[in-house]
Amino acid sequence: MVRPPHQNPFKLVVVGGGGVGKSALTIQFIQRYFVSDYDPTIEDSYRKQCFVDDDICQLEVLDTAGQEEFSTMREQYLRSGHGFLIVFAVSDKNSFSEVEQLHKLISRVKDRDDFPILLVGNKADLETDRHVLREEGEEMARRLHVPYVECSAKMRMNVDEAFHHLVRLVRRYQQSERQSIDSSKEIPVNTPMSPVRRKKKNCRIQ
Amino acid sequence: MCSNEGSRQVLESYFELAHAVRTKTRSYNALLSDFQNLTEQYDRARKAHVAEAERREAAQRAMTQAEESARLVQQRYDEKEQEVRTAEARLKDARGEVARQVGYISALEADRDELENRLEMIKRNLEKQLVTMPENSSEQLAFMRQPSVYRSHSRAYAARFDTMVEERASEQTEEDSVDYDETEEESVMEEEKREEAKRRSSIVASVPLIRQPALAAHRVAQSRARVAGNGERTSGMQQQTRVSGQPTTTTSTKVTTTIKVDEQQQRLQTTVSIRTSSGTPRMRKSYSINQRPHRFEEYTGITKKCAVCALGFLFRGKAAVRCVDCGQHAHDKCKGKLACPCVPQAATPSRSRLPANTKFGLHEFCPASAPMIAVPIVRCVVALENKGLQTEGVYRRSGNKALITKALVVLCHKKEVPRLEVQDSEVLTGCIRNFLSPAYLRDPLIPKTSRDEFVRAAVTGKAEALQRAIVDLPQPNRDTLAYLCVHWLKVIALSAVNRMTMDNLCRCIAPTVVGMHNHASLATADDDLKDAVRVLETLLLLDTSYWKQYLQMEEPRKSVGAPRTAPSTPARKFGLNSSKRWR
Repeated sequence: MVRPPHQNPFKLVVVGGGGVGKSALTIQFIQRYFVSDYDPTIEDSYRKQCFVDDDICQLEVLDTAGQEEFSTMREQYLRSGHGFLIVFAVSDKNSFSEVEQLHKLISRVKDRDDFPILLVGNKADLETDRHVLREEGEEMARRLHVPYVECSAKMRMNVDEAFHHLVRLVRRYQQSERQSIDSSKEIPVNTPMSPVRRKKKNCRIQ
Repeated sequence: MCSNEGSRQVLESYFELAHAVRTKTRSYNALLSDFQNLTEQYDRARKAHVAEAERREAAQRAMTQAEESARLVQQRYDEKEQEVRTAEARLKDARGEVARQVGYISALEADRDELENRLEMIKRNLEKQLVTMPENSSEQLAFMRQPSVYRSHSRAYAARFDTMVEERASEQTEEDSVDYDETEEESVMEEEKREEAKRRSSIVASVPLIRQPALAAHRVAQSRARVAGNGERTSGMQQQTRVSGQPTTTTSTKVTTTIKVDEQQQRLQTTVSIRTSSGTPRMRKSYSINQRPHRFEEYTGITKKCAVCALGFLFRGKAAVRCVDCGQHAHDKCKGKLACPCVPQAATPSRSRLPANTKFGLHEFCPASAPMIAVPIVRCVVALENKGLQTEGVYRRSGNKALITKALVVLCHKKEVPRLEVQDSEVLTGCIRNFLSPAYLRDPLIPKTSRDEFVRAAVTGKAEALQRAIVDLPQPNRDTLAYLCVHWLKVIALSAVNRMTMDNLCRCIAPTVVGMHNHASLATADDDLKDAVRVLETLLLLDTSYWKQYLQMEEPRKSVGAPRTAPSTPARKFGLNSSKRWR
């Protein structure tokens, strides 16, 4: 039985370097086909309803530009997103080196270290062109404290799984957020359940 | 009686009076009729006059109409004539382009044959030794048993242009094709010179590519005068036939250069040797900025160091040279290895004394002489084009950020010439983009003040407005833009290989080139972005030959009798080194 969506849509933002296949991944997830044409995105937004763990949810997926030139717009969508997919191509070392920077940017804008973020290694079907080993990806994920998924938009491998995983992360995060608000109403002391707020060390503006 | 007498007298006088009255009346009547006659005549005359005036007016109107139509016809005639001239110019350009392509291809072919020969030789030699080799190196050489795959990419590329292949076959007899290539380039330069001359005379002419035979003739007269004055220069007879407006097919091979022979000859030799010996595929450098030679003068000082071998000149006792344009020093024997092309050095703004995130103006990186192209841009573009623009997603994929930052600092703030050929093409494009980005330059390539002008021109699609907007740019911006547009058109031309069509390229780089306003909301930012993309598309729709007219090189500084060129634009918005710009 389908229940009407009872909440605001989850805003998922797909970020990553230029030409790593963000649009291909998004369109494969939303519309179930592989786009083979080569045109850079400026910004596209898609909506979809789907079931994750027998629970319906509204998704709004924002497909962004990989080029740095568009950074004026970047902060704005980063602020509104509920969950992020950081995509790189396993065949492109440069895109992998950008991951850390993006993670840092998200953490800064959100002012959180534990925001729902998923690291995605795309183009996993290109085994022969591989420049980033699976181990390297996992190592990076461990360092950033985010889960890591390898997928292929072309083969439709792990695409749904990646998005569903992110939805789960967002849900869990929002739940813990709500709990921490509830608990902070009762007990003013921070419980271990509440998310760790990054302590601002060097801020001089009080 | 008396009364009778009296009454008779009265009667008489009465009759007399009556008679007089009658005569008066008669004369009055006569006068009246005369008057009426006259009035009638006057009326008739007046009517005739009015009619006459009307007729004259009508005639006049007819005349003006005729004049109007004559002018229209004249105008249309002029337009057609202009079109014809444009078409002729295009035809010439296209012919030149075809000839150059053919030349390049035969050069490539020669390259390939040479390399195949060598490979064959190596193979033969190696095969003999293969048995005696250790296991793993013979494994590495396993490809030798396969058929040659060398340059299969260029072969595939050439195969797509069937016509080109055919033409190449017909041109096969041309042995010294590299030389041929060079002369052709000179002819292109000659043409550009003419265009430049035209541009100087009428700077806001709306249609690009108009050739004015009169001016061209003047140009030739000038060059002939130079021939008379300077024995070192030569000038071809062929030029005359070109000027007279008959496009001849033979022009491509016979145009001779007006550059000093000795220097040019030397340069030619070296180019030939480079081309045949290099193993990597080289892009054709179609514009002379990309292979501008150094101009050496003797250097007697001892304080500098050689730019090639990094040794001083102190105890060597050998001849040393210094390039007049770029100011690099080298030993006489090292000068052949000096990084080519020569890029006239601008005073690089040192960063050590400035705060970390200082922003710069474009003019601070430009040389003082005519094509005022920012030095870092020239270096990056040359390196990129030498690498070949075939990388998929060039300008789309982003490079390693640390490398980009490092390379950019060396490019912009260090005296030495960085070794860009070892960098990835992503790093090079990253350098160009970062250099132009608002994080580095104070104002984007198209300054904020001109942005609206460009957007308006692009939206309305008026060629004249666009032309004016381009001409009104400060010269460093305009020349750099022109140089980059020529480069980007090359990228687009290879879109079948690198998948960067005009649309893709514009979307990737438009915000950097055109610049963005600061925004409060995403919606306005989106509109702004679309404007930027449209502006860049409009700019890239212009011809390569149109852009090249801004890249005209100035006459060498010290040559005898070279006429000083007049300033090419009236509008100068920047004031920093305006005094020494024309030396």
